[in-house]
Amino acid sequence: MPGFDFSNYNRNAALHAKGVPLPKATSTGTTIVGCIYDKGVVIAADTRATVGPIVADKNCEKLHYIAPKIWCAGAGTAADTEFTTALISSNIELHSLSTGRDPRVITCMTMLKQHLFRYQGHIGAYLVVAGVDPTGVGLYTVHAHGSTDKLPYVTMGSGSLAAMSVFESTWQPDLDREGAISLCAEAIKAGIFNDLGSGSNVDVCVIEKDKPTQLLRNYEKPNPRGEKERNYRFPKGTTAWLNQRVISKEDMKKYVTIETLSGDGNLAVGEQMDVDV
Amino acid sequence: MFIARSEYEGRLFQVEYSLEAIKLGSTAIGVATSEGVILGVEKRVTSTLLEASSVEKIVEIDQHIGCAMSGLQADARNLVEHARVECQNHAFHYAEPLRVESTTQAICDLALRFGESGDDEESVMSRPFGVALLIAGCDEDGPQLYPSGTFYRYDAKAIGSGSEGAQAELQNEYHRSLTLPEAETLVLKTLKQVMEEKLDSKNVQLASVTKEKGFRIYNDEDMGRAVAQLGGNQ
Amino acid sequence: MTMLLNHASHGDGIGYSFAQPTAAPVQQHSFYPYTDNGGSTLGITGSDFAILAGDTRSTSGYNINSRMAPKVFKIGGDDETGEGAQIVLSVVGFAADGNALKERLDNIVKMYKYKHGKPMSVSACAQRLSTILYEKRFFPITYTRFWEGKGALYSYDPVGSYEREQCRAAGAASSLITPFLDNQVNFKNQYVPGSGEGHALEPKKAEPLSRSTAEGLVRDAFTSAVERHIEVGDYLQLVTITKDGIEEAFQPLKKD
Repeated sequence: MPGFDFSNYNRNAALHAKGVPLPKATSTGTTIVGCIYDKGVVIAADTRATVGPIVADKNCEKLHYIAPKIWCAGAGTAADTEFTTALISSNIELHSLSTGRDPRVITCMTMLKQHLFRYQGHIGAYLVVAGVDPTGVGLYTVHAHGSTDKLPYVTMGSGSLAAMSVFESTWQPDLDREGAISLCAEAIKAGIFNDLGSGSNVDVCVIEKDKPTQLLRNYEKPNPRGEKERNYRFPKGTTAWLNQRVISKEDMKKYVTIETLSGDGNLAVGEQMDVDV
Repeated sequence: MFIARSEYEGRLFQVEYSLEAIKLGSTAIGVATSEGVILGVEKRVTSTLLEASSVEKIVEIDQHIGCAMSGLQADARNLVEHARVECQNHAFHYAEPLRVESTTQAICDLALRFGESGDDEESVMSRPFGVALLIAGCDEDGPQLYPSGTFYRYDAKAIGSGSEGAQAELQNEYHRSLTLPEAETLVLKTLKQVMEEKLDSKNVQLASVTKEKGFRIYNDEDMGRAVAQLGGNQ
Repeated sequence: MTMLLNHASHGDGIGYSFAQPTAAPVQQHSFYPYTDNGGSTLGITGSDFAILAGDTRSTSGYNINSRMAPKVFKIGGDDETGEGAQIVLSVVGFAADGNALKERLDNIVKMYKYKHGKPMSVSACAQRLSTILYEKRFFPITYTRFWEGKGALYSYDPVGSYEREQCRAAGAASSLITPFLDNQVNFKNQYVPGSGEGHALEPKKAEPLSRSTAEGLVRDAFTSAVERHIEVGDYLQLVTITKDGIEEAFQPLKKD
């Protein structure tokens, strides 16, 4: 069966003993939260990904699809949250196909905790699992070592304390859909502003019985990038070059299909590519 | 700190004794001009067996400051050493020369550190220094002359046994537009009047402090020229 | 002059190094009294002015200690407001050491004026700061720091090695801001278009910046550093020194 490749284990253990540091994974210093309401459940996340103190992605997605009515928010090592949720999503789909029933949140949670427990915490995935199934509304947290909790409102990640302070001070048992969404957004914002590992925007996912699941990507954008004061467009010819070769459009057409797009041709490429935020 | 007992009428005998010691010292003269300062001392070569060149009464404190002394020379060593250390310390910390006024202040601080020490104080000197100095230097405020002890700046000042007569002479002869060679001659002329021996190039010593060259002590050739100049002027 | 220690050496090295010896078998107890309080500072000089800017965020780990903890200090002022000062000091790294250093230098500059009857020159203050730092050679005060006054900018390493410079970035985001400064202040990697071909192409010549250009670069450097470094943010403190005195301004930065 395909799985993890351990063939570098002995080599890396020897290198580490000689003082070589282990390669560092992208860790999503994160705020993720979840909250149930009368007919469904809301989960939310910030969108900052960091490598050490550097922001690697200003607008990443931390809400992962598992099944149409089960979604998962991930904190911890980015790769681990993505692969673990994708793996469980596949298995849930297969399980649903073979049983002919809608998947249950508790099933998903159990599969996650068994997978993570097997790897004794080496898979650094900290998750909030939420969804609606035939048994009702489900909201769980799953830690990397395999422990789980079932609560009406949950927070995880480095901003969990900031977010929990919002829940503990303003949560009420009889929340409606809008109340749950805004409460979760407030909790995420507490993380964004008070935890350095969290930042940028708020993503929200709302799951409700008999309604299509709504992924509200960038539900709030409380941190727009300020206008640059100066212009950093370079005059053509600023960069040095030693030789040049011109490839004409006609030449390229021999190998690929070329389609011309309309747009402001004067825009520097860097400006066009700056799509995040 | 309880400073030397006051015997009567508030006078400090220890201090007065030291002032007496200074009055017995050889004469030293300083004249400040806009071009620089000239220091001059009589060497008092008391014996034909004494090697005149070994009598050192004008010394360098830093590149831009020198001083002439009168009185107990051993005491002067202490003060000069202190001033040298202060100058070096300042240059080390601030990458700039210590001002002439600050150098004088540093010497005055040490000169007053005598008397009886209290229980917690570091031990202090038992008596005042029996020496007077003339401190000459050049800094951003131009050429300057300070006598030690009194912290007043002078255009021309004499200390030592012949100081009364010399100071009177300087009072008459000094004017603000003196050139450096004229100041040389004035110093030698004044020394000549108050010296018991006949002045020659061996029993006096001159030094100059200028903006351009800093402190410079006159060698035999310079002394010969200066003394010859004096003869020519008279 | 070689910087003896730099910020990067404290961080995790990138890539593998095979030269490091095997870790000591005996567990050693160690006392590390420093905390990195994050933040970044930046200094640029022109012909008749100098700018020192810094963000006002103080951090420890993922926490924000304060959103308004200025790290650019006036040195040798007449009162608590710093009125009358001509010298500005900024310290990044361990804030407690930075404050202590500021107090000490301020004291020394004031005493100098009493003792010598003149204000301390910038070059004298530069040398004095160096000796203060070297005194603690085996217990260095903090990470990188720099200070300036009257159109001159000096930067220091923690043990007193210093250099007069055109511009300098220090602190958390220094590795992000420095290449920007190289390109926009010294015009590195920029050539005069059409001035020649291949190696004959003329590099664009750096000229003294105007004050408005320099202030624009400083603000853009910080709004950009805030985007990509988690320890930089909240407010920008911008201090400009001219012959007429010191001007200080604060402007908001992103708070996430």
